[in-house]
Amino acid sequence: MDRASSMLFFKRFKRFFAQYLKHNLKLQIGLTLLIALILMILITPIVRRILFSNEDPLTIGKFDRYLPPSFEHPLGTDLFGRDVFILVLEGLKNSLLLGVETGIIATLIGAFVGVLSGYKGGICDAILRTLADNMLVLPVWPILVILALYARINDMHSFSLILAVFSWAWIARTIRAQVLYLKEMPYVDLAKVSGLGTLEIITKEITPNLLPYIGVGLSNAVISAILMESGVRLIGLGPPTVMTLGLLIQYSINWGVLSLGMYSIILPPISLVIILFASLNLINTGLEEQFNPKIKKITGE
Amino acid sequence: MEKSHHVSKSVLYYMIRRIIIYIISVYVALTINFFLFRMIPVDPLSMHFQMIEQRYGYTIPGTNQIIEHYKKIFGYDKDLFTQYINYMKELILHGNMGISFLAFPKESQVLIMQALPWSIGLLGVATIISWSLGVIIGTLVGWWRERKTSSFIYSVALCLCNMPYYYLAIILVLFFGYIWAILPPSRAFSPHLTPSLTLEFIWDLIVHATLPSLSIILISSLGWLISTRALVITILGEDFLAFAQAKGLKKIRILNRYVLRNILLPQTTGLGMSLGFIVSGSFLVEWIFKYPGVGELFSRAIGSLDYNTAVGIVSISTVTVLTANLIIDLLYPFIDPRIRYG
Repeated sequence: MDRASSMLFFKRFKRFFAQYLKHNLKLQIGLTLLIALILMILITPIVRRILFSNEDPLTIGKFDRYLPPSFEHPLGTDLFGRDVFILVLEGLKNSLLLGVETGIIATLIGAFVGVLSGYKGGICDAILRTLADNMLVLPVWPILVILALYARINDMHSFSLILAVFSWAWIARTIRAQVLYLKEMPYVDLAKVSGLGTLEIITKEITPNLLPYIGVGLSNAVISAILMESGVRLIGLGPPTVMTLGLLIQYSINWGVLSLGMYSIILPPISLVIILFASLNLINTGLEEQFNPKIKKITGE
Repeated sequence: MEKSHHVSKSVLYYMIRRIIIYIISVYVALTINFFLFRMIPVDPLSMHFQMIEQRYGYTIPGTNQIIEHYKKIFGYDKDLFTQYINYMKELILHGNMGISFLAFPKESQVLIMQALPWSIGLLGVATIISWSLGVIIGTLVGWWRERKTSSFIYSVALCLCNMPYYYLAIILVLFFGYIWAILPPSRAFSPHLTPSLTLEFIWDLIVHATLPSLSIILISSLGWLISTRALVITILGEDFLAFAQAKGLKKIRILNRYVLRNILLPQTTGLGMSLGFIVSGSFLVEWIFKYPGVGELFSRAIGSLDYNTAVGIVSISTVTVLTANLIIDLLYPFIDPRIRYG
């Protein structure tokens, strides 16, 4: 990317923070929640240091099992005698990492497919559109389960790759629609007339205007990846060695935490997922309201 | 006269085309489902033997012969293509989905048919209740969109809509099922009762369905609320509404005759589409409540690698979605005469 277009990107980001953020309560709340969660992840090592100095609170059998919340164990301990507080923070980190990784892969695929089929049109568009439409009506959940079975996957990267396969279609569809609209704009014609190549038109004239849609697609893909992961975990599939919020929820259900009524173990991971979900949802609607005047009219704010 | 004849003919062509597409999609979906499951490298029988050997620490004599014998019964000894042909032939001609692994000599479709009414009952009732709630509350929230309460409800709905049901299900089961122990946390009816049409059994059924359906209703009505509100607000800006107000019509009449009537068409279509997910919509909720529906069966089938049952469930849920979409598309020319089919 050359200087001019990177300047354009920068300018858009500046405008985003200066203008849009100030007037949009939904964006403000959503971003605050998200930043709070990220801060929680960042301070995990420090908290761990303060509470347990150099010991590893996640070794099995370290403490007594099912201790109630106390000063040493803010959320008590689980069946295996591990500290739940650190466990939850660890799970949050891994869930978010998985979500972001999946989101980025899905957004890249989705944006590429969307731009290609929207700008090129013709047979290329027909094939890609049919593919995306079919992906959207697939019963995702059972197929995901099969794929998780297939590989008996043991690392998170292949897992997020699989999840990304199910998330790109929606992004591709919105971006295609937007490209179709942008393609007809006078400034694109002007660029064509002034002799810019296809690639240049796409990177310089079209992509900068797609940024908000890419942002919405990304945050949608992140949240759906986290939810899909915890769903797959719930029936006992997925990499068993990596602690995520979904795995914690599954443990709680399978090891009788639920029937013991130990809310200190089960509620934190669930509320974290819900908070994450709500914050990304708010960011999404906030972004859409800012960039899509039609929605702004409908939401009436 | 000439014109109307022409229109009905084009609608007919449209319908025929739509039905052909439907048949092709169903066939493709069934094929994909079959191959997806058969290509899983783990073989259920070997896995079960391995598990038994690991758990009890001894080798079963004649393992290989037993596995070979069962493979013959399940038809796994033939090559994949022959298996596919046999499977499709059995499925289309006899509605036979193959022997299940979970309840061995029984066939998969028997298991699925036992589970299906539970899922359809639970989700059908929950979908209709949440649709009605969502449309009513959404209309009111849109109508009074300047009020504080409305914008509060709308914000909550925005945060939580499209949330998977099972999160709420876990929270509800934790508090109502275990900590306060007001409502039964699992199963569809008490184990000491036998299914019958007595008042006692029906009451038991309702009590057991409360928590699972509540977790579906509370979340999915939010989606309907948001879409209804958006529709109401667009209608409020229309000219005919301004005219109705200028005529001095009563508010309740405007709401009834002008607003509600215009949102019912798109929302009914949406209801039809969401009824397509009547089989597959609550897999994990059923699993959490051990509700004997299709979703719970699917989880068990996956747990013991019962491919026939799992394929059957996925196929039925795909076909339901496709069928619901077909019905809506076929009905649409009659519901909305504005659409042209060329």
